[in-house]
Order: sequence, then structure tokens, then C-alpha cells
Amino acid sequence: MTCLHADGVTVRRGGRAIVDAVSMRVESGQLVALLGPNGAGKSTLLTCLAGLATPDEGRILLDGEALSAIGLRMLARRRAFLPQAPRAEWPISVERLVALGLTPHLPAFGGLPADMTARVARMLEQVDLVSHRDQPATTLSGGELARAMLARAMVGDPDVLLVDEPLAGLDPRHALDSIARLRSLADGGMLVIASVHDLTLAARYATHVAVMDEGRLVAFGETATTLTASLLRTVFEVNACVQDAGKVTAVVDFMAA
Amino acid sequence: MSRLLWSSAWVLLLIVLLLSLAVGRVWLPPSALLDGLFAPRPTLGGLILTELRMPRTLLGLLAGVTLGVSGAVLQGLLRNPLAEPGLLGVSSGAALGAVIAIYFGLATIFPLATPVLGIIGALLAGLITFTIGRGGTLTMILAGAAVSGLAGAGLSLALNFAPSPYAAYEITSWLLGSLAERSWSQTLLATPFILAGLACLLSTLRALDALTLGEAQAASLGINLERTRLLGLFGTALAVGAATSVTGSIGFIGLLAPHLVRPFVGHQPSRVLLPSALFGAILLLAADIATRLIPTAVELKLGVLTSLAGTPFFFWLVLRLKRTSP
Repeated sequence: MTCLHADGVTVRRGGRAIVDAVSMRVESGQLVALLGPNGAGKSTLLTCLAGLATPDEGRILLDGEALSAIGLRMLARRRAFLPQAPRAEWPISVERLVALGLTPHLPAFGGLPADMTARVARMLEQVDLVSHRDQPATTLSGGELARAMLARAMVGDPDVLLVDEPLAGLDPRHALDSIARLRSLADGGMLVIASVHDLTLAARYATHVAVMDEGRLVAFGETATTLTASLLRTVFEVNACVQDAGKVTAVVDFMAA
Repeated sequence: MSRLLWSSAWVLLLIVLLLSLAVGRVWLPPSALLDGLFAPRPTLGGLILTELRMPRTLLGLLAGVTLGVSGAVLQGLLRNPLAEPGLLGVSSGAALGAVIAIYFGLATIFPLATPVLGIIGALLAGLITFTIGRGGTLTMILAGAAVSGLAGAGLSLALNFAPSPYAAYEITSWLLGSLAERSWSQTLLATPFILAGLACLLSTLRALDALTLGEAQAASLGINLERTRLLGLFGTALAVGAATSVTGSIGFIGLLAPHLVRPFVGHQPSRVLLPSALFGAILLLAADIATRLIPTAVELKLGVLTSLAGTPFFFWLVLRLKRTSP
């Protein structure tokens, strides 16, 4: 059982708190949709939760141990992080790109051991990219690259997966596929936190939602009970109706701004 | 890299190494050179081989490897196909350091002064470029140009106030870059620094691969970015600074070598390093052999030749980037 615990996390930039005293506790098996308008502090919070930025106040604990006390490599083995719009800077093959996810498991020199090559192959199969194995990653379409990156994040078999806007730029089918995949990872026992803007998909797939506004965590809890029309009105300034939240039929319908 | 290509690269290196030992302004048949090597008393052939061509060839090999590896590491580190020690101002910084050592006569008092000041110059230049150029391809290149300009101004100043025509000549020859008339002692003085620098550069292999995914993902994969940048910078400054302090600035090898091999190793940054070292040495030695063979009244300097040959490639690279970048 993995537990990621943010305790009074505050990040200040230029005198302004862009993440303001956020406390939350996420456990394995949960898919937490991190919601909030642009500039709410979602990405900054995710970066802190990943241990890639140090909060000005508060602390983040992974299974009771402060992130800052866990070595870079050990942390990298336990949690995977995908930033917004990840891309490959060189035209390496898709297979190589996915294999990069195994970096924290590799010795300083030498190639990929045989068992790890098999893991990469399995992962390519899972995200349906076997036919693209040798293709340069820079020539993949948006949806294919998103899948390749997700495979890259999953290949190391982490306990914690943090993803910043995995659905941005995806067409409806690929967006559905991606969030369904995140949900099935959570169902398999992974702790998943993903920032998303698609409230309908969040309502339908997330086990929990965490809603941020102006740096503060204004709501956190099970999707069915937390994602309400009044919350959306306050945070997003839109009129919406939430039907059967938390069930398969959940829909967030926007009426007017 | 396919086995055939890899082995032909080694054969090519062997050929240029042998040619570099065999070819010169003074033509001597290989037998005369070899006989001289084993003759009980020093002969002309033996002296030319052991005192002139051997140190020259070793220096060419080391400098070529240095430029090839540092170019590959800098391009991987900055994810910038235009990065190389010359364009980032590291080479001119090293040249300025070496010229200061010559100008103030430090080199005659203390032989280590030239490589040490070369390394310090390279390090300072690299630090300034890295510090003000962080944040993008364009700013890094502009910062490199600014630092090169600054070092160039320093070099011009030294030239302007050169104490004697001889000093001016010596400074000019540093600027042009050459392997000619370099002694064993100069070469051996630079070697430990070059090797230490190369060791730093080679330790960044995994990090360079991870950086293919950008800095945020590389950091999330357990890569210590600060440490990697420092190793890249120090390694380049040590190796390029020491090599340049003996050879003067030699441009474009560091740019060209990684680009030549990249498509053959699937563009994977860590796998570019060794072939790039190989081709850096091949290119530099081949260019040096050409300077000896091209019949000119005054010797054509190596740095001039690599610039002449390398600039069209740079133009091509810029045009290609213009096409592919948004």
C-alpha cells in the first residue's frame, strides 16, 4: 500500500503563493483527477508531488518518508512523472523512447539487459505501438506520442504515476483510451494523479477529484460526492449539471458561462 | 551502428594515422622512416618520425577525439544541433587564455601556464555562455557568439599591443590553429588534462539519453541535472582548453563529427559519443594531412582549412534547421 501525503505545501513565486497550504493524502488504487482553471497551481503542485521542486513551506511524504530524503534514483524507481506536452528532442526510435523509462534501473554503462528488452516489448504491445517500434518518435502523431510517453512512464512499474494534462490535444477516442488506461492502472493498485481539463472524463473515470483554485485546494474527495454543480460554478464560473456523478453514465453538461 | 560501418571507421582511422606519420613537406620513403626508427644513431628519417610526426599525430588524434566527444556531449546536453565548443565560445576562451600565457611570457617561466590558462579561459567562457544562454537554442548560440566576440576582442587587444612582431606572429598562429611544430613536451603536458576531461564527458552517457525527453522528464528519471551540466562544462573546458592551448582554435570538427555519425546510431545521444570521437580524429588528421599536401608557399594552417571546409556544412545545417523548426 503506497501513500503520498502533501502536508501544508506552499510554493511562492514573486511574493505570491501559487500553491497555498495544500494538504491531501492519496493512496494506491486511486485515480485522482486534479482539476482547476488555468493558473490554479496544478502543474506546480504536481511538480512538487513528483519531488522535482521543493516547496517553500510544508512537506511531501511518500509512505511516511520525506521526498527530499529519498535518493533521486530510488525516487525515480518508485514514481513516474510526465510533464505537460512531453516530446522527444532527437528522432530516436519509439522502442528506445519507451526504454528510457528504465533509466533508474540501469547500471552506469552498458546496454539494456534481455529481461528489460522484453518489458519494453510488452509495454509497446499494451499501448498498441508494436508496428511503430522502429519509427522515429518525432514523427509520431499526437495520440501515438502520448501513448508512447505513457508507456515510457509505466515501463519501470512505478508505485506512483503523476501526469500533467495527459489528455491535452487528444481526439475524443484517444482521450477516452488514455484516461481509461490510467483508471485501469489505478484499479491494478497504482497511485495515479492526473491534471485534466475535461470534467466529463474526470467525472466518469476518476475515483477522486482534487479541485484547485488560486493555489488553494478547495475540494478533495471521492468523485461522486465532491464534483458538484455548485463547486463547478464557484471554481470554473460555469453553469453545469452533473448527472449520476461517479457512475459509468456520469456527465458534466455545460449550460452557459 | 552497423558492424561494417564501425569497422570501416576503424580502418579509416588507421589509414589516416599511418598517412599522418608517412606524409610531410619533406617526402621520405616509409623505409627510410622505419630504418631511422631502429638505427643505432639518429638519422634524418628517424628524427622526423619521432620528433615531428609522432607528437603531431598523437596531438591530432587527441584533439580530434576531444572535439568529437565534446561536440557530441554539448549537442546532447543542450539538445541543440548547433552546439560545439567553438560556437559556444569555449575554444576562443581557451585561445585567449593560451595567448595571455604567451603574451606575458608566463609560458617560458612556467611550462604548465599555457594549458592551465587555456583551461581557465575555456571554463570561464563556458560558464558565461551556460549562465546567460540557458533557456533555449537561440539564446545559447547568441550567448556563445557574445562570449566568442569578447574573447576575440581580448585576442585582438593582445595582437594590437603585441610587444614584438615575433609575439604578434606567435599569437596569430594560435588564432589560426595548427599541429605543426608541436613538441612531445607540449603534447604530453596537455594529455592528462585531455584524458581527465574526456572521463568527465563520458560519465554523462545515461544523462544524455534521458535528456532526449527534456529536462523535466530526465530529472524525474533520477538524473542529477546540475551535476550533468557541471560534468559537461568542466569536461569540455578541461579537454578543449588543454587541446586548444597546444593546437590553437580548430573549428567545425566538433560540429561536424556528431552529425556525421548520428543517423547511423539511431540518433541515441549516448551512442553518438564513441563514433563521434572516431570521426573527430579522422577528420582532424585528414585535414592536417591535407595542409601538408596542398602545395602553398606558406603553410596552410589547419584551423583555416577546417573553417573553409566546415562553413558550408554549417550553412547547410542552418538552412535545414530553418526548414524543420516552426
